[in-house]
This record gives sequence, C-alpha cells and structure tokens, in this order.
Amino acid sequence: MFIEKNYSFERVVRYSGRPFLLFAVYSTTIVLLWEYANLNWITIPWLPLSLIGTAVAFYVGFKNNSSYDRMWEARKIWGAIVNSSRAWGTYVGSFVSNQFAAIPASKHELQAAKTQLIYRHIAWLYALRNQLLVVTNWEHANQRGKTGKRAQRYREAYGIGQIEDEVMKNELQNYLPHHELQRLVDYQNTATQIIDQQAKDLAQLRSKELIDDFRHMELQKLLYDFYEHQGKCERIKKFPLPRQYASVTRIFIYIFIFLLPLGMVSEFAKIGDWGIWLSIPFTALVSWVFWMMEEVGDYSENPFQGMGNDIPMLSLCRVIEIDLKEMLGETDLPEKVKPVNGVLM
Amino acid sequence: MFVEKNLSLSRIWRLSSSYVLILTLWAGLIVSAFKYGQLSWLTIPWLPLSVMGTAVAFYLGFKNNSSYDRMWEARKIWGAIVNSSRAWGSHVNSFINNQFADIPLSHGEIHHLKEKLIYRHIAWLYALRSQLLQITQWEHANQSGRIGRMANNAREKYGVGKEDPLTEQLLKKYLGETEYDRLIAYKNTATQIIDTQATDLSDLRLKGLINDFRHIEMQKTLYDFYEHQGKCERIKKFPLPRQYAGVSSIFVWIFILLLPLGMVSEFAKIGEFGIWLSIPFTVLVAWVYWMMETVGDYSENPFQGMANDIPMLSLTRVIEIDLLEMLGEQDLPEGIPSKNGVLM
Repeated sequence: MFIEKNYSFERVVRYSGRPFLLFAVYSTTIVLLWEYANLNWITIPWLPLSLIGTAVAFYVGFKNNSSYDRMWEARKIWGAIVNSSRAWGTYVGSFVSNQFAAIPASKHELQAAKTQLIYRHIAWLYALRNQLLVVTNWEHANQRGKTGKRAQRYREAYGIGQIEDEVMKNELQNYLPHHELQRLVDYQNTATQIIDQQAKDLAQLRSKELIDDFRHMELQKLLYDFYEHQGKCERIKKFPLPRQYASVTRIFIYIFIFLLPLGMVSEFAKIGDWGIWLSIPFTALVSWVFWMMEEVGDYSENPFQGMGNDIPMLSLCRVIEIDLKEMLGETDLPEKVKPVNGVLM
Repeated sequence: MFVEKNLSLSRIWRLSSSYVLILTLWAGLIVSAFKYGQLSWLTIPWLPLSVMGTAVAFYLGFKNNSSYDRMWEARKIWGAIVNSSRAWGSHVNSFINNQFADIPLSHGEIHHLKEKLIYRHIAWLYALRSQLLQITQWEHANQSGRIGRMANNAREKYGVGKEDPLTEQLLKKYLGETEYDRLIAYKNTATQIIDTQATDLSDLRLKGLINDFRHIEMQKTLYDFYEHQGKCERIKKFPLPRQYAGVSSIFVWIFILLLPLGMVSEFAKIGEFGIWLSIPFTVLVAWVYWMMETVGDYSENPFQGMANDIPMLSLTRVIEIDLLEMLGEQDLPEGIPSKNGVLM
C-alpha cells in the first residue's frame, strides 16, 4: 500500500519515463516521414480515432473499476479478519473458565489452554498471509522479460522473496506447539488445517467442561467466519480479473496509441507549418494518459502479489498479533511494521 | 478460466479471423461501389457514426459490466461453497463423538460415520458441478452453425462433452453403489444428497453422537449448501436478459454496417488513395467494437463448459483434498492442472 498522498514525480518518471520517450520517438518518426519523405498518405482523418478513443476510455474505465473493486474487497476481508480475530481473543479470554467444570482446572492449565488457542490463531494469520503470497500464473512476478524482473525485484525489496520466507517460518515456530508444527506444515493447505485443529481443541475443552454448549457454538461460529475470510481471500487470489477482459483492453490501448500520431499530425497541420512539430509532445502526452490508465488498473488487479499496490497484510497481522498478546497479558510485544520507501506491507 | 496474463494473439486471431474477413469484404465492397459504381450518394457524414459509436460504447459498457458481474458472482458463490465445505468437514470432525452417547461406539465406527458424511458431501460437489454443466437454450453450445460447433468442440476438449465418465465414477466411489442408484434417479440429485445428509444427522442425534446444539449448527451448514446451490442455479437458469443482450448485438452490427459509409467520405478527403486506406481502418474500428461485444457475450454464462467458465472442477478437487486430509487420509487425488492456458 502506498502511503504518500501524492505519487512522487520521481516515482512517476522512473515508472513511466521510458514509455513516454517511446511514444515521443514514435510520433517524431511519423512527423518526419510526413514532412521529409512526403508520405502524405500516412495521416488519417480524426473519425476512427474518436471512435476508438471513446470505446477504449469506457472499456478501461470498466476495467479500472473492477480492478479497484477487487482491491477494496480484499481490504474489506482483511478488515473483517482483524475484527473476528479480536472477537476470538475476547471470547477465548472470557469464555474458557471453571464455571461448568466438575473437576476444576488449575489457573495455570486454563491460561495454557487460552494461550494455545490464541497462539495458534496468530499462526493461522501468518500462514494465510504466506499462502496468499505464492505467485500465480497471471501475476507480474510470473511474466517474462522486464515486467517479470521488475516484479521480482519488488518482491525481494519488500521482504517476500519467492522461495523462503523467514517471517513465516519464525512465526509458525513461535506460535504452533512443537508436536503440531511439522504435521500442519505438511498439509496441502496449512491454514485450513490449523482452523480444523482449533475446532478439535474446542471439542476437547467442551469434553473437559471448560466451556459449555453455548460458548462452544459461539466459538465454533467464529471459526466458520475465519474459513469464510480465508476462502474469500483465496477467491480473489486464485481467480484473476477475467483475462478476456483484461487483455483485450491492453490490445485496444496499443491500437489506439498506434493510430494516434497518424490522426494528430493531420489535425495539427491545420494550425500552420510548425503545428506538426507541436503534435509530437501532445501525441506523447495523450498516449501516456491512456497507457497510464491501463497500467494503474493492471497493477491493482492482484492485491496479494507482493508489490507496492498490495494490501498491507504483514502490518495487519502484526497489529492483530499485538492486540491478542496484550489480551493474554503479555508485555514482551513485537514491533509494529514500518513503511519502507513510502510503501507499507 | 484463462490463466495466462495475456490472451495469445493466435487465440484472438482464431476467434476473430472469419469476422475480420467478412468485415474486410464489406468495407471493400463499399469502397469499390464508391469508386467504380459512381455511387457517391452511398457515403454519409461522420456525425451519425460518432453519435452512434458513443451510444454503442455506453451500451456495451453496461452489458460487459453486467456480464462480468454474473461471472464474479458465480465465482463468489463457489468461493462460499469452499468455505462452507471446510466448515462442514471441521464440524463433522470435531462434533461427532461419544461425549453424549448412551452406548459409546468404537473409534472405528465413529470414523466410519464421519467418513460417510464427508464422502457424501464430496459427492454433492461433483453432482452440483455436473448439473450446472447441462446446456441451456441460450448458451453457445445450443446455437446453430459455426458458433454452436465451436462451443461443442470446446466442451469436448475440456472434458464436459456429452459423456461424463468422471462424475459417474466419483459419485459411485463417494456414495457407494446402492445409494448412487437411489440418488441418481431423482430429478435433482444434488438437492436429495443434502436431504440424505439431514436424515443422517437426525440419526446421529438419536444415537446421542451429537447433541442438540451441534445438530442445529450442522443443519444450518446444510441450509448454507442449499443456498449456494440455489444461487448457482439462479445464474445458470436465468440468462442475462435477452432483450438487453440481443439489442446490444444488433446495435453493434448496425454500427459496423454503417461504418464504411462514413469512413469512405472522411478518407476521400486526404486524397485519391485515401478511400483504399479506409478499408484497414474500418476493419480495425469495427473489430474493436465487435470484440467488446464478443467478450461480453462469452462471459455471460459462467457455467457453460467453455474457457470463460468458473473452474468448478479444480475447486471441487481443492475441497476434496482438504476434506480428505481432515479425515487423515494419505492417498490424495492430484490437483487439476491447467490445459492450454485454461483451468476448468
């Protein structure tokens, strides 16, 4: 997530300076051909451009809208994860007690049971984050050439290299009981099975009568909520913005940018001899605007791809972690996650 | 579901080649008539075209938006099926035990009961998928001519043609032969599978293997499954209203037919050769509009067994694996890989 109010000019130049130059070079070539090679036929009337321009602007608008929707929904889900996690913390804190027990457990045992439920939940958060950061086929980090390389560099810079993720390993070791760790990590979907383990623990608490039926069911409902949150994240992660929509926009944009100088030259020629030279910066500018709309949408499509546009999952995990540990009465708390270069992860 | 970031040019060409040909012929015909037939009254000013182009772009935007909404809702529902299924597995796993039983059962017997409930649920998933892939009247596979042929080829290729051996085999495996024969005879097998689950639950309650609280929670999850199934059926059985979809297609074709008439006169202004130059540009503009229409058209029906589908098979397999792991099984089926850039 970008946290500066305005995209710095430098970031914009670094990001789109090269395409801007490319547009300028292309448009200069067309002007030169028109002026010196006498290729008058190279220009076209304005009509096809206005038709394609309108259609493309609409279509890109639709794509950007959907793209933003995906991102905002992802943030909503993580917001819901924060809420349900806090509820889990208070439920565990106040529901598990000796009130209904025939054989009361010691204070120490109760605290251990609570700690286990809460620690395992923190492990679920980190496991979920990690699973969501695995690269899918359509994400930028999996593309060839410059796009892919740049995306990989980003992922490295923000501490989510592709192969090993130190954060995940440490957190799981810290928060899962030793005898469960290996078994849970070996499952195909660790997060799913962590929640299942929580359910088994609840059933055990019920059989020891440390919770009654009402409390058991409420806690179990929260676990269902966690499955829902997890599943919703996975849905966004594993179902891209339909490629037929997304990639067709890109082709339209390229067509438009290709045609633009051809139409611009003849229009600018009407204002005088020097007009055709003036057409170069304006062509580059208009091309850049269309290209930029497309790019912003393109990079916002996938909110869990480990790049600057991501939902700040690590920082949210840490916020929940701190809240839950404080509920357990712990004082040795981890640091909050800080933004790096204007990006919070 | 397409899994490549960008659709390959060859795929797009295969889809649109015959239309590009028709468009070229049409534009060529108009230009020839203008040039050699002295039919200069054939051309029109650009005004109606630009007005119509804008209107059509709006309308297509609306159609594509609704079409995408149908698809995204379908994916949301299948996402919810994943969530509720995991919850079901977890409920079955941790709720059924001897705590409230008058006559305690052995560990093996309890495991067998859990297995039955989870297996039957997996059967429900496969049955639902298979029911959703039945062809409806307005889907591409039911059209005449080339569109229908292409759609049927796609269905065969992705393994959802007329024969469906996979579903039959897996239903038999997960339901057992006798239950399979009974359930498959119903009009809506998926509905009756859930009903059988409910009967089983009340049986468990009777034996004291679950208590009332757990019974009601599990029954609520079954209700969730009915909701998910019904939502899928709603999208399957109610098309994008044909009055909207059909009109947009007519608009696009009218626009495309008028396009060369306006283009010729505009291009004639830049010189003698200009009218010939109008042909490729007419085709290009027409193609952009046609493509917008086509993408929306093929995304309308997310359960039609073609490349734009929700990847139901792969989702079902993901759930199957998660549930089998909850049962502690080691011998797991393979995940579904994508084929030719398409995941089913």
